[in-house]
Amino acid sequence: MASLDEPDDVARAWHGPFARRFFAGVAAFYFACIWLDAAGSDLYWSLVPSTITYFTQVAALFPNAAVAIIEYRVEGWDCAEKRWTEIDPRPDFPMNADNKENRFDRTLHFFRQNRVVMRALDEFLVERHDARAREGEEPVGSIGGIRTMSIRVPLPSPGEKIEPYARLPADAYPASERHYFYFTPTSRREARCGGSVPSGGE
Amino acid sequence: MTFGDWLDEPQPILRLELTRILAPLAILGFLSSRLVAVDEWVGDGGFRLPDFHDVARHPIDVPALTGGAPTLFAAVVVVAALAVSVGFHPRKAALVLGLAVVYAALGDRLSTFTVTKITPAIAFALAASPCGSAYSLQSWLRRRADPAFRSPAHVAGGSVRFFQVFLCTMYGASGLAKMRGDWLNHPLVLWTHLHDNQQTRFSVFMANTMPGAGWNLAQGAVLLFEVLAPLWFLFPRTRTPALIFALGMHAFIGASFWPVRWFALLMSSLLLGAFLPERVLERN
Repeated sequence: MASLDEPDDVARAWHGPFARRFFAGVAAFYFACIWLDAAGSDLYWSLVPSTITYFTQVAALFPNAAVAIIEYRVEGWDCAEKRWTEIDPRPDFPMNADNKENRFDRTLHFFRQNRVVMRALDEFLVERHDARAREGEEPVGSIGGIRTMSIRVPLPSPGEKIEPYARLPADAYPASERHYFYFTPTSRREARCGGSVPSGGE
Repeated sequence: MTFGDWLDEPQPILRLELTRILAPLAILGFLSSRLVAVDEWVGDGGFRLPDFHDVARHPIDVPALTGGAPTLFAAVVVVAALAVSVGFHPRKAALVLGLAVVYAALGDRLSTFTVTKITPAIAFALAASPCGSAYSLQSWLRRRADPAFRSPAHVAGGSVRFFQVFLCTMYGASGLAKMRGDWLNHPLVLWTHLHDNQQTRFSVFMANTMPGAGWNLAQGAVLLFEVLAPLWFLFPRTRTPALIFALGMHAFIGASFWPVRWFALLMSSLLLGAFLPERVLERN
């Protein structure tokens, strides 16, 4: 298997036709999967196990135009003030905290319509936030739930002056650019806060 | 020439060794942001997706590592990647690196990007190749022990062919996906991606100076390159111009979208190994 003992000037990892055919076959299958995924083949998706398709979804890089400048944010229901206030999820998602490769952004990008995931995120953020709030490490006190949103700022046109990106508070954006898609159910917020709260996500 | 002849045709070993030296460093750079937050990445210290059925995005549930295991995992990844790069038992190290990244990719969909998904293929291809036969710590140690030993100058073509076809596949399939997306009917796809928090000073500068027609032209050039990449790299006359274009494209992408720089560097390292002109490689 090792190549360093080769008598000639050509390094080889394997000897014999079987290994060559085997690896060529595996490589051909891998390349075919990448092509079929990029082509959007339904047959491919129905025949190949998802653990393999997962690793072959690699070529569709920026296939579509962005429709807006999109960011994801979260508000917490402040039990004492009885209102929604923006909280910063970045301490709980430290990996790539300041760009959209952050896991919080990815959670909302992929799973914002998935109630099971949103409930899990709800539990996670409330528990983490309240633990810090009890230690006096949070500007916002204990929260009873979360409200997640996307901020969708219209794209500028070529020729317009482009200002460098800056992270602004969510309430600096007009209501028309804030889109809510999950809030902790009222009963859950009441249970966590220990008192009545207004119903719905308002 | 049959397909088998083409596959086996000896290649300058520097092609394979360049990939072996450079690719793990780009991968390690990409993973560095995950390694410093390893408890969030593969441990139980961060948000974990619940057990639910989403075949495409979360194919299987992989348990998180607990206790000191995430730190150990990070150490294994770093040591394996560096061992591949310096050429110390690089094939075994590549196998370890590939398996570790498979685990991390399946365990955490949220931090999985293209680099995470192609790393196992690159690592397994290196593990199946005779990488480390030259320009490596291993060959240096061998030469110290036996002054008569000479590293091979060539490698059986299969492993080099893998990376060459891989690149053509990535670009060609990416071009196909772009055609199926907006690239043929929206004139400013590139422009629309310049404005979010991946932005750099360079992308702001470019957005403020390059006219709309320039973005339109750049979009067309990228699409033309990607869709026809297998042909550009097939013919000797177009191969080097294609290499220069691809390196320029990745430099632009890396400079414009900062988190994407590691992908750009990884692709560039594969390009250099796969398609540097032979006369450049044989100078060494």
